[in-house]
Amino acid sequence: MNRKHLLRKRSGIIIASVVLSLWFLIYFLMPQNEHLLSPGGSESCHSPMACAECHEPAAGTTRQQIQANIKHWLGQRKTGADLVTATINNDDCLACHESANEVHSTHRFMEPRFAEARAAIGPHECRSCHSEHSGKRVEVRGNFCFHCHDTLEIIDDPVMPSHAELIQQQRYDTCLQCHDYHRNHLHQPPQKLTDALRLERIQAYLDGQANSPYGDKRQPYQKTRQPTP
Amino acid sequence: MPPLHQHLLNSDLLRDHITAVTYADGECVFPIDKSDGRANLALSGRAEITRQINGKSELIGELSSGQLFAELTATEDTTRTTTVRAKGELHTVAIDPNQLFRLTPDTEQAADLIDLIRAIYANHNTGQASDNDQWVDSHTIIATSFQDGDTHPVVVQYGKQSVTIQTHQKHWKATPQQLNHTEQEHNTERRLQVIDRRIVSAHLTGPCDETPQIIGAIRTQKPLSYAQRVSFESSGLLFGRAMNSDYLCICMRLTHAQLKSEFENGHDSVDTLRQQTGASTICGTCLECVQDLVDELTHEANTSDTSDTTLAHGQADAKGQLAPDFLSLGVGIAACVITLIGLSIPLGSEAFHQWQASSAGRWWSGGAFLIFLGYQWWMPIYRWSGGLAKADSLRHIHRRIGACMPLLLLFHNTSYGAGMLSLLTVAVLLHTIIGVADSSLISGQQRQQNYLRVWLLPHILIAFLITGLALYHVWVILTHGGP
Repeated sequence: MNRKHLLRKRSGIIIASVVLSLWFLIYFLMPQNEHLLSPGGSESCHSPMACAECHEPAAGTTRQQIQANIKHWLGQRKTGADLVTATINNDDCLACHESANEVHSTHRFMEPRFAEARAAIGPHECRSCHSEHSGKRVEVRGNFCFHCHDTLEIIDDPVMPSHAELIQQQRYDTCLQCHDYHRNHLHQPPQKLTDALRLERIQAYLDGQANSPYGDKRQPYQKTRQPTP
Repeated sequence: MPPLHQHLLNSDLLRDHITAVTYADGECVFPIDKSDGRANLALSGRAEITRQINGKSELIGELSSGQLFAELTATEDTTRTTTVRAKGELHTVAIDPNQLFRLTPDTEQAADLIDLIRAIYANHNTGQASDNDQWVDSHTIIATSFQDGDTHPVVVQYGKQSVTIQTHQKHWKATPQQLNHTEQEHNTERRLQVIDRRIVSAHLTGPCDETPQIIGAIRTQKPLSYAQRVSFESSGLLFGRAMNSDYLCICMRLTHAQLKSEFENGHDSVDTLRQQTGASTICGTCLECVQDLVDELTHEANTSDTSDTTLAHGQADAKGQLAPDFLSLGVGIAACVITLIGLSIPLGSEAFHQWQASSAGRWWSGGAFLIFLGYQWWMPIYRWSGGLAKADSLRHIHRRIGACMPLLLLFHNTSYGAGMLSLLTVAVLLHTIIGVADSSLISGQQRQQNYLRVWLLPHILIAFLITGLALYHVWVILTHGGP
């Protein structure tokens, strides 16, 4: 059977398949369905937001962006260009999430003494831990506090066991049991490790499967996003 | 009153053999598979012609006043392949074809009548030609006429041994010049009548490859050159060497390829092929060849159905049944189960998951999935482009690696995904199960083919869906900061 005959026999199936596929694509392209494009869902606070609230248009036209990327691939340009929408950076996050109580401000990690930590876990960028669209609050796993706090010294340390002992024993998994990383909740660190939060509760919270064990938020975030500087 | 009707009424041959019939809107003039042995002429009103194709009634034409229909069925005593229903009020006359076509080769009035009927028939079915086999004085006579556009109407009558071709003119303006060629050893005789360098009549006894060209020359009234006339009298040939050997119907100048093409366009019976192309409607000598071609192509089509099954699933055994591919079935099911578990519970080392979540991991694993998808499309692309042999060689690997598709998804995904991607995950798992649950698992060749027809729809449909969603996902990712 030649091509023409075969195509005629299968044309109904092929047309139906193409039409159905296009219908799905058009359905996903509709503005009211844009949340369905998220690969892994959004954090609860982000789910009501439109994509464009974070994903702002990239500089230049699409043609210019493609040209720039092709030149970059050909070695004629040092960097590529964002395609259609700009890459999310700290400013996009801090437009809503900037807090006066922040104890781990991203800009603080730009100090030279944190160079090794920056290279290892990138604490100077929100995206290093919060990748979004993964369904999780925090992507990074494992102990990361030691990158900066392995030489911590506290005079008249009130907690039991002391920080020095915990560091000496490399029990960095206990850090988050007492301390809220961004200090954006009303949680007060206990003085005894036995009174600390259970690690499972914290991990469930970080994985996006439970509410915060650190209590209510310290201050409400701004309702609308501020323009990116 | 239409001219033909008037003409028929004025004819002594027909006056006593016409029955006027009026049909109401929607009334069936004649149903399919029934024949009352009469031809019909529409006097006024309109009618719809429908045909059963694949169990569905499809409109294939419309009749209006002055048009003759059902004459082939009537004269050839075959069953009707179409149904005609009145569209609005329809007035017709039914004609007994035994009286209508009771002709003699020398009856000028009969030739006139044939010419008129054929002209109407030709106008109704542009580009078609047809014939009527008639018994006249115990001899078979095939009478055919041509008229299209501005070309000259020609009446051709074929007897057992001879062909008579002449322009439809009662009186010629001048005395024709005679051109003769006789070959005693081949028992052939060719006589042309030429007026003003144009052929007006031809009488050909014995085989003549140039018959269609002579008909064409008479129709178009193209002047003959001096060299052609000399050539004819010396060799009997006006136009040089004979026809291209690929011609199946020399009279209608139809090649095997043209007829094959028409067959593939749905005219897959001898009757419909003749009606569509005019093949074997002039001298009829190629009728057996047309029948053979239809038989051959029908057999090929039936075989290719089996071939479709074979291509899709595996080599057929001696009885035409396909051997089940249990390996692909097992791999496919296992891959789906592993993927379902792996997307629920993290499998593998922490280092692998970190690599998987990294930009490089997403690029490589996503790229591998896309390359896999592209490779899987090679087989259908080869098939659609006619490369069946190559497609056949790709068939096994298409199925075997297709069974592993969920594992590639697991390589790329860390979860079922959300929204569009969850649909993609479901589609991949479903596609794998459908892909390995092919017709080879069914016993019996016919049951396998029936299953294949049902199976192909979801298989192709989900393949398009997966490809479309995957490409769209890539676009969304690339335009929102990259992986």
